[in-house]
Amino acid sequence: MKLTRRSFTTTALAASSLVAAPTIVRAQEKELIVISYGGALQEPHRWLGDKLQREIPNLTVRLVPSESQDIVAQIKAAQGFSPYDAMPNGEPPHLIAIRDGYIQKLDPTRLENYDNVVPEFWPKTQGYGVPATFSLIGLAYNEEMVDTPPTSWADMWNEEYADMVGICRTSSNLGLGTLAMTAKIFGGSETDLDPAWAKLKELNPLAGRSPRILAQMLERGEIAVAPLWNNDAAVAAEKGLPIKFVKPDPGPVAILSVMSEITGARDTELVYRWMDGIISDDYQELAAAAPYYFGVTVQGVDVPEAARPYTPSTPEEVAALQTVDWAEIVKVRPELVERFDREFAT
Amino acid sequence: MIDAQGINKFFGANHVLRDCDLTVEGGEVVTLLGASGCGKTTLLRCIAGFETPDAGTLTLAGQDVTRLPPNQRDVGFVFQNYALFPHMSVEENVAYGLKARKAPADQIKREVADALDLVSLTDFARRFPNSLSGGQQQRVALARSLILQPKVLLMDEAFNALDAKLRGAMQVELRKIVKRVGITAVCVTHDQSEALTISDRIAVMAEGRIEQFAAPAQIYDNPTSAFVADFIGAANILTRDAAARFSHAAKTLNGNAALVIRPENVMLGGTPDDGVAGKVVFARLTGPAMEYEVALADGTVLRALVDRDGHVPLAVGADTQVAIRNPDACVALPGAA
Amino acid sequence: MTEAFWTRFRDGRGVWPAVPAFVFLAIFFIAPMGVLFSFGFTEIERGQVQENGFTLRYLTDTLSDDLFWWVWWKSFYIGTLSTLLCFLLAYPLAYLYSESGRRMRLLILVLTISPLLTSAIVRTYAWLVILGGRRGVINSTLIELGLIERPFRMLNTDFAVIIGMTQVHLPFMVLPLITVLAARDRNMEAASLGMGASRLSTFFRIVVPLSMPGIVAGLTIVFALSYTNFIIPQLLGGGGFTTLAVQVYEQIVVILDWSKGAMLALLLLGSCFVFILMIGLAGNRVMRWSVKETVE
Ligand SMILES: Nc1ncnc2c1ncn2[C@@H]1O[C@H](COP(=O)(O)OP(=O)(O)OP(=O)(O)O)[C@@H](O)[C@H]1O
Ligand SMILES: [Mg+2]
Repeated sequence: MKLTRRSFTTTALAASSLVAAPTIVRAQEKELIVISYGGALQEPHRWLGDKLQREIPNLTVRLVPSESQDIVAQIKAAQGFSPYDAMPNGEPPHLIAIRDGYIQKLDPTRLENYDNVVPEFWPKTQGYGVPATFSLIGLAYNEEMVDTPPTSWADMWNEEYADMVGICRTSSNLGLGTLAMTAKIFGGSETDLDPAWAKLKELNPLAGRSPRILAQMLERGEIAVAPLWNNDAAVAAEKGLPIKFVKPDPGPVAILSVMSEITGARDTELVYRWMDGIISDDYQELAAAAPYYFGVTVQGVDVPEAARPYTPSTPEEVAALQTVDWAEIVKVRPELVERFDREFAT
Repeated sequence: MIDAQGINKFFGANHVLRDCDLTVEGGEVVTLLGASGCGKTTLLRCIAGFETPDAGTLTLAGQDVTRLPPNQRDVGFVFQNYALFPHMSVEENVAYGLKARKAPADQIKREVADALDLVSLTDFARRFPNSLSGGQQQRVALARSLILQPKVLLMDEAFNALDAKLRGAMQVELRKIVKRVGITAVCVTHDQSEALTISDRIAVMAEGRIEQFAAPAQIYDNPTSAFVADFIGAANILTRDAAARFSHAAKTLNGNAALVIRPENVMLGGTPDDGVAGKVVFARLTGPAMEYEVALADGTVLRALVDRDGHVPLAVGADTQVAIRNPDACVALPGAA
Repeated sequence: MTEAFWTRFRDGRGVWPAVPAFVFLAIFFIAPMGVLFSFGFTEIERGQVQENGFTLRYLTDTLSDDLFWWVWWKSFYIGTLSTLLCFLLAYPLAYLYSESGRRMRLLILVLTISPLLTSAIVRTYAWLVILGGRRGVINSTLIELGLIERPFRMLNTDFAVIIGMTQVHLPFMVLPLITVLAARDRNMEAASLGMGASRLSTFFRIVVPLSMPGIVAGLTIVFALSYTNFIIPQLLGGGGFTTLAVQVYEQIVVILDWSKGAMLALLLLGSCFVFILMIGLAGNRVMRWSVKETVE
């Protein structure tokens, strides 16, 4: 390049503006903060975040693991100035978030992949967020401690597993799902949970404070059998731990996870790009693969062979999936959390 | 009663006691006298068993106790800082030893009352040591030891916190008790007049060594070293050359290296033929006597104590004549001054 | 005494140096605490304080709830037991320190303080490895040796929580004890021995009572820490274990009921304060001797 007087001046100007105005440069940087899962289950989110970072210049996607449970408390305390932009919720907290106004209604016209989604999932979102994935609550067991694997929910009460069954606290979706399912098979319902409390108490179970901790208790052999998320069981099995997952009769509980925009998100456009990514074929294919085995919510994505033990793979199995009337459960969630202590901590 | 032979004690590299021999007869009161840090407390603690000597043997009443723990020695100890138990009342402090011996309750009660009466602390029985004056604390410490009527009583500066009057009374009281009960006592003090008052014998210590061990009069009149002479009664110690000027004293000197002259043995204001010329450089009134310092021509300074009776005080700067009152009372020392 | 205080205040003697600390505390501690506790007497809907929302409902509901009293008892019993265990372990250690040479003292000090340099959570996770299930260090060793067939349940028990707390809080007991024991007047013990008392009775009648200031300080700090710790019970006690501190956490973070959480927090801190006061008063009673009495 021939350095003329003019080109020198422009170059110098450009350079000095870069030096002089770092704030301008920084203003062009974008950030998206998304609540995610803990451990290996975070990887599909990371993959999507990296993809967006490549597509959008100056974007940083930060994932915050929600294992610590205090995310919602922070959002609530922030009073509309949430430090986070998007979050996945299982159905129970999704309903609470809608009720308390922490998440925003979805504008379907802003999503390119809207029609990808299996239509039956949309009503479950109540018009908020996109159906991200679904997971199953089934029974996991430690192979080294169990001679005859359980095949049905009722098997939890088998003599063989006496005093070796774990359950999760009702502060988690897993615990609530376990409670609802127990009610159903022992003649109760979402509105009549007393039979479930009685039966669970009869188990003299060891309780886990969170699904992750319950999985670890199973890994360490503190318990032999426990209702568990398919994904946690799969990740443990993949690591070579003696953990097996069964879809117990009459069927595992399926819970949809909905990815939503948090009230007060700084850049709605980015959040929509993120949600669009969640319901893209590429993302869903990855999430459905080993070792995560998330249930897919879009049409036309093949479920890999290895996912068979963890996801419904035949039409009969799909038909057997159990659903829970979460609206009823959510109404009494605080009492259910306290009831757990009344039953098991005293 | 107490027989310490060749006691040596080190604190790390610090050689604190050097070949100390101390033999105390039953019923005798012995005082350890010496400058601060010379090892008095350490020697006393060795006798009590709070320290174990690195070399030497210790016999109490014919029994070798060199390795015996303190709680099996039957030795009373009054600490330099009293070491009263702050969490116990005066009464409880005094009763402590009897309780440890599992004495019956009524005996304890009686003897504690007697002991407190002895040290005039009956009214303070329920007070805690923190709220007592130094002298009161010291008396508690004494009562606490005396109540056990030990064979041997060791007292580390037991009277230093008392006012002059109380101190005198306690010294006399102590001598009485000791003689009455027949206790063998070893006391430590800085105070030479106290040492002279209460002791049957005095051991003068310097740098971990026992310099001289003898009766008070003996120590005073016949110090065996310049240190002892100086320590007891702050004597004038003259070199051979300085002493030679005093014609009367020359025969006492008798070829030795130094001469000890007590201040009260120095006479001022004679005639030139029986004295040496000097100049008053310091004058002070000390009650019944005047104390002077007089410089001789060669720079030697002599201390003199002069009875005020019939004496015309001399001013600083005045010229005078110095003489020795009684040459026989001077002590000649073979070592260097 | 107040008279003197105000005179000094007017003269500015002794008071002004404390002003920065006071302002700092007021802004960053007292004010937030005040706000938090006021939530306990307020109706809050969806994160919004309601108008005319003053209520005693949370106070009366909590105090009439069996669960609250049960949980309170658990907190108290866990806190007390782990404090006592701390004391029983720390006292001999501190005594050993006071009787040791320079090297040994350094070693004890380093061993005591070094755990403070790692986070309590990391140390607590270490207990998971030691106590946890059949793969835990203790159980796998016992099974290996053929001493037991089925693993003991050690994790997720009161025992695990007490052990975990004791370990984490031990330094706070050891340090004040070391301070008083190392600085004590050895002549006290010599005097006791000299009067014919045995070593054992000298220890219990002289050494222990005289170390009371350190004992009271240690008990106070460790009880306050144990009574209000909410991490260790969650990690080592399992899902079926709860204390008052854990309940506060659950109400605010999981159930999102700020009013109830605030009320529990108020009761937790209030009762903690009362217990500490009681330890202090008991200590003062035992240590009457340390204060100068004016008149008998
Ligand atoms: N426990 C100890 N450790 C190390 N050195 C010590 C110890 N006790 C005493 N010493 C040293 O030993 C020497 C003699 O001490 P000691 O207490 O016997 O002196 P003292 O003659 O009683 O002095 P004072 O008249 O001041 O009480 C001193 O130099 C002192 O520093
Ligand atoms: Mg001394």
